[in-house]
Amino acid sequence: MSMELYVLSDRRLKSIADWQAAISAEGFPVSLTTGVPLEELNGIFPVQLGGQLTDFECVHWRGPEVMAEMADVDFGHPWVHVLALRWGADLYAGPAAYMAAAAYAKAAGGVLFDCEEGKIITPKQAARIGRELEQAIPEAQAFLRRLMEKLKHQP
Amino acid sequence: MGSVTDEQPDPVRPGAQYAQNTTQVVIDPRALTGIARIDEITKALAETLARAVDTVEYLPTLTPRLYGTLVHLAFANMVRFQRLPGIGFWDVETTFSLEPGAHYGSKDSIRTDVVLRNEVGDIIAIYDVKTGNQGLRPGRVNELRANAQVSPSVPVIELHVLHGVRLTREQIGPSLGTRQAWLLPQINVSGV
Repeated sequence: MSMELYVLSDRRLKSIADWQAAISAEGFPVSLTTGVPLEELNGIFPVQLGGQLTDFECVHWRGPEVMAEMADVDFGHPWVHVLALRWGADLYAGPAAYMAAAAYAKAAGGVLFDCEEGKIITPKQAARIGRELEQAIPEAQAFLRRLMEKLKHQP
Repeated sequence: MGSVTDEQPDPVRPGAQYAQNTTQVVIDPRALTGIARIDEITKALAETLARAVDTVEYLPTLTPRLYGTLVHLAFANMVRFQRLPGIGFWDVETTFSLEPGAHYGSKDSIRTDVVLRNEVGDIIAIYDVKTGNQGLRPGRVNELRANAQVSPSVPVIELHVLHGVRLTREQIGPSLGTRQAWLLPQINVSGV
């Protein structure tokens, strides 16, 4: 699970319900489906993207510790909290993570650190990336089908 | 292993296929443990990742995140089909949890890219694929070991696909742009 996205904020949302409300307010087709309280999230978090079950890891970190470990990055502000989302070989996890993180960051007054590009992005940019990834799912599915055919027929 | 070439590739042709380009693999000596079983698999996985990168065709519309997703998908499936010794089907994208018997959606759970096991099934190495600009954080390495319940002596090995801005201008040539740098991917293997 090694594609990552961090939400940086000075306050946390209070509950999964608040996070879901923020997602719904943005019109994202993401449903959070855990019974674990938000403050206790520390692991693989099942979600749905348009009815498709997927998941990403979701962990709370302390901002100062993360920024100290990433001293080469200019975070622009001494953020208090980090919510880290992480996923791997899953077509649906990426769009769900970007959308969920965008909504969280917007509601919490924060920004995001996009580990794929190594830079700070706004909630609006993260939302756009999530939508782009969602739209690219058919392209990725086609790629995967071609790959599986090749793998099945290789000696 | 190979190193970054200073040869300049052909100019980008929109829509052209570049799957024939060979991704280079650079293994940091510190990633090698001296244990033949682990080091051989490390080299094999790095080469598999290089093939996975070559499989992802160059597309002008390919964003870094979609690129990363496709590389992860290709790598995971290629490793599963490869049947390397010590890496079973379920050792790719494996969920680990500190809660006994718990799995999906549980607290204190993580998912590894690949784990390598010895003859009795114990994990002897953890592999993590990175496609973005950021490498593995020390805190993440600790999480991987803790949740997989392995000792600090078990190596966590990062397989990092470098491309675009991660290659310096000197490495890719002063006249080349980011799009062309995508044609020169490189796998850096490092131990943590």
